[in-house]
Amino acid sequence: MKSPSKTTLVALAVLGIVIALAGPWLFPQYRLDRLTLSLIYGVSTIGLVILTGRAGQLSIGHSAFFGLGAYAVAILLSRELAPLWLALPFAAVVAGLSGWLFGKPALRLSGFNLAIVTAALAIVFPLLVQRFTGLTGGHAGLAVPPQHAPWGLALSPVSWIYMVTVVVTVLALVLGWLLTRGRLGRALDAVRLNEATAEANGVDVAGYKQAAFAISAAYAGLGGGLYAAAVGYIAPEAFGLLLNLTFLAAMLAGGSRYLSGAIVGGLLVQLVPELAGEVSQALTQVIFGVVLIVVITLAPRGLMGAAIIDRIRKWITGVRPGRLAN
Amino acid sequence: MTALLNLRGMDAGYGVGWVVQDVSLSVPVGEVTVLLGANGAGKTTLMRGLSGVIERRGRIELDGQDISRWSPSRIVRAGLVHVPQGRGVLASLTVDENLRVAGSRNSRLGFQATRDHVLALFPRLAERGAQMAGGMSGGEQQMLAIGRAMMMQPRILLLDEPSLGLAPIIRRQVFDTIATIAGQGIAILLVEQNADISLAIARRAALLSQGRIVIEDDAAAIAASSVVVDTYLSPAGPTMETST
Amino acid sequence: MILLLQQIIDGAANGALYAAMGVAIVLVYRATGVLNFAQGEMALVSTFVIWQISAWGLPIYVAAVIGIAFSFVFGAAIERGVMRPLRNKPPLASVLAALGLFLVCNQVCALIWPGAQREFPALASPVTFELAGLRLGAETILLFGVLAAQAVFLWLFFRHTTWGLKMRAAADNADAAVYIGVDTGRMFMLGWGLAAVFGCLAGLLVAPTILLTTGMMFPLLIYGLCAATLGGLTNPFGAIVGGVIIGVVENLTATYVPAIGTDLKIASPLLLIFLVLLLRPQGLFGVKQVVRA
Repeated sequence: MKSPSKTTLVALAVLGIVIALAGPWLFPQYRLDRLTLSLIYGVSTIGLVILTGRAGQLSIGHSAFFGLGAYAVAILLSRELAPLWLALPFAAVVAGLSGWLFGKPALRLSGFNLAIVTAALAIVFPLLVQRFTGLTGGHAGLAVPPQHAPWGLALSPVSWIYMVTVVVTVLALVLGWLLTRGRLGRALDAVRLNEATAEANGVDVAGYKQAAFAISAAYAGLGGGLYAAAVGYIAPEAFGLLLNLTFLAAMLAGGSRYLSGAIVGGLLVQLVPELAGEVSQALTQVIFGVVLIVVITLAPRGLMGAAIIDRIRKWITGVRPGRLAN
Repeated sequence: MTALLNLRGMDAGYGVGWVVQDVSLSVPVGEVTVLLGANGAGKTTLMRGLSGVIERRGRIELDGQDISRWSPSRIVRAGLVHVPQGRGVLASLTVDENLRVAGSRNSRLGFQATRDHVLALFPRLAERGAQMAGGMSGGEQQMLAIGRAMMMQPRILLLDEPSLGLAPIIRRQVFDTIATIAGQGIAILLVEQNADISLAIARRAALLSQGRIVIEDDAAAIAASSVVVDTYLSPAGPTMETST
Repeated sequence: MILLLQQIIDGAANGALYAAMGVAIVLVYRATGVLNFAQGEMALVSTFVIWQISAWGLPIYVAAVIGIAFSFVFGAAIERGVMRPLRNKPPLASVLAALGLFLVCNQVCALIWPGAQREFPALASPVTFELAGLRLGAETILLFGVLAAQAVFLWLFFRHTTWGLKMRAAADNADAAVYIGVDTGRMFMLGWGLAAVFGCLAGLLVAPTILLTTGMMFPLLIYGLCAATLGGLTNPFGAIVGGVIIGVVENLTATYVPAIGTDLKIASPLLLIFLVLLLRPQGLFGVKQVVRA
C-alpha cells in the first residue's frame, strides 16, 4: 500500500485534535478529569523522552521540576498575580532554568550515579517546600482557585482545563518534534550512543546534555503547572520520589524513544490503575504492576517501539523498512 | 579408525532459516581437522551448533552417541569443549580463577593434576596467575582460553579462529601448542580464515562456503592447490572480525 | 563530647540498617547486573511472612529461619519468572519490571495483612549496655554482628568457593561462562535468592525498631541505594561503610546544624554522595569502569 500523502496526514491530525477537543461532549466530567491528568503526565514525560530516550541520561528527579511548576502556578493563581495563560509559560521557564542550573554539576555524572543524584533532588524538594510555609503553605498545601472558561463560554472549569491541556499537549508534541528532528536530535543520539565518540567528533556533549536537561525540566514544569490548575489543591507529598515511578513507567511502557510514546505512556499510567480500580478496588496496584511487567516483557522497547507499530510508522512516513538504527 | 565426532547432514541456524546446511564431517582423535571459510561462511554457526547453544538438526555423533538434542552442559560433560571466537575470557576474574571455574568439575586431586598439565602447556599462564584476565594481551588471552578448555578434560576441542588478532610470532606459539595437544590424543576441530598456518598442523581439511562444505581433502592437498585458497578465502593476514 | 560520641553511635546504628539493605542491592547487581528497585518490597513480603508465623505462636527465631528460607525461594523464583526473559533486552526494561514488582509486592502485603501497624518481635533482648556514659542497645550489636558476618561470608563466598566463582563468571560474561560449563541460569537464581535473604535480614532487623507497615521499606530502600552507591556498587564491604557514613553524617548534621535540623537531615548525606561521586564516580570502594570511544 502506498504511503498516505502529507495532506492526508495533516488532515487526519487535525481531525484527531478536533475529536480530542470534543471531549467535554463525549465523556462524563469525571472521565474528562482523568484524561486531563493522563495528558499532563504525557506532557511531562515528553521531556523525559528527550532527556532519557534520546540523550540517554536517566533522571528520577523530575518530580522536583514538576512540583516547582505546580507551586509556581499555584502561587500565582491563588494570589491572583497572573492569569493562567501567563502562569503556565512562567512555570515552564522557572523549571527550565532550575534544570539548567542543577544540570550543570549533576551532568558531570552519568548512568546510575546521575540517577541517584536526581533522586536526591526529588527527595529534598518536598522537604524544602515544607520549610517555606509562608510561600507554599507548607505541610497544609495550597488551594488553587478553579479556572473558569473565558469569554463567557459555557464550559465547566473541568472542561475548560481539559481543552487547555489538549492544546498544550499538541503544542508540546509539535515543539518536541521540531526540537528533535534537526541537529539537536542528532546530537542527542550521538551522545546517547557513545559520549566519548561524540566528543571526539566535535559534539559539545556537556552543552547538549545540559540543554536536554533544561528542556526536559521545562516540560515537567509545564506539566506541573497544568496539574496545579487542574487538580485545584497541591501538597508537598504529591511531588516526592514516588512520582518519578509514574513518569518512568509512562516513558518506558510508552516507548522511551518516541514522543508519541510519552502520551501513550501517560494514558497508560493513569487509565490502567483507573480501570483496574473499577474491576477490583483492592487489587488496583497489583493489576497495574502486572500490566507493566507484561507490557515490558512483550514490548521491551515500549508500546510505540513494538515491531508492528514500527511497521505502521514506516508506512506512514514512507520510509522503506530496513534495519532499525540502534 | 572411527572418528570421535561424526556429522552427517547437519544443519544449524538461529531460528530463521538454516545458516549451515547439510554438513558432513569427521573429526578423528589425535589430529587436527581444519575447517576453512571466509567471513560469513558459517564457521561460528557450525561450532555453536555443535556445542549446543543454537538450533541444530541432523546426525551429530560424539563417540557413537547422538548429541543433537543434548543441552550445552551435557555436551560439555561428555567432553566436547568449544573455545569461542574472541576467546571469551572472564575479564574481571584472575587467570587462576578462570582456570578454577573451568576445572571445578574435577575432584581435588584431579584438579591439581589437570592444572599442572595445563600450566606445562602454557608456562606463561603460570607466571600470570594472579593477573586479571581482562588486562592480558590477545595472545595470552588465547592461551588462557585454550588452557581453560583443557581444564575440562576434553576429548575434543572446537577452536574458533584462535589466530584472530594475534601477532605472527604468538600465532606460531599457539598453533604449536595446539598441535601438541592433538598429539596428546585429543581430537581438534580448528576453524579458521587463515589457511597457511592452520593447514600446516592439520591432517584433513574442509572448506565451508555459504553454509555448505564444498571441498574435503587432505590438508596437504588443499594447501598445495592455490586455486582453492584464492577462490574461497580472503587473503591470509589480519582481517576485520565479524560474526559468522 | 559524650553527646557527640553518642550521636555518632546512634548514627552508626541507623547506618547499619541502611547498610544491610545496601548489601542486598550490591549482591543483585554483582550477580546479574540489575539494580533491583523492588528489593525493599520483596523483603517486606518476607518480613510479613515472618511476622505471621510468629503471630501463630512459633518463637521468633524459628519464624525467622522459615522466613529466610522462603525469601531465598522467592528471590530465585522472581529471577526465573520475571527477570530472566528480560536478560538480553535494554537495561531499562528490567528497571520497569522491577517497578512493577514493587507495586505488586507492596499491595499484596497490604491485602493479606490489612490494617494499621503491627509490632514486630525483637530478635535481641531490649538490653542496653552502658560504658563510660555511652549507651549501646543489644539490637545494634546484633545488627553489626550480622553485617560483619555478611561481609565475611561474601568475601569467602566470592573468592574461595566454586559457586561464588561461578556466579562471578556468569555475571562477568554469561555467554562465555556457558562454554566452560557454568549453568548461568542457576547462578542468576542463586544470586537473587541470596540477595533476597540479605534483604529479608535487613527487614528482620529494621522491623522491631519501627512498626511493621507496608510503607516501611521504601525509605530503607532509598537509604540502601545511597549506601550502595557511596560504597561503590560492586563492593559489599563498601555498602556497609557507606551506610554507616550516611547514618553518622545524617545524625550529626541533624543535631549540630540547626539550619538543617531533623526534617532536612537526609540532605547532608545526599550532598556528600553527590560530592564523592563527582570526585570518584566509582564510589569509595568501587572499581573504575573503562569506557572506550
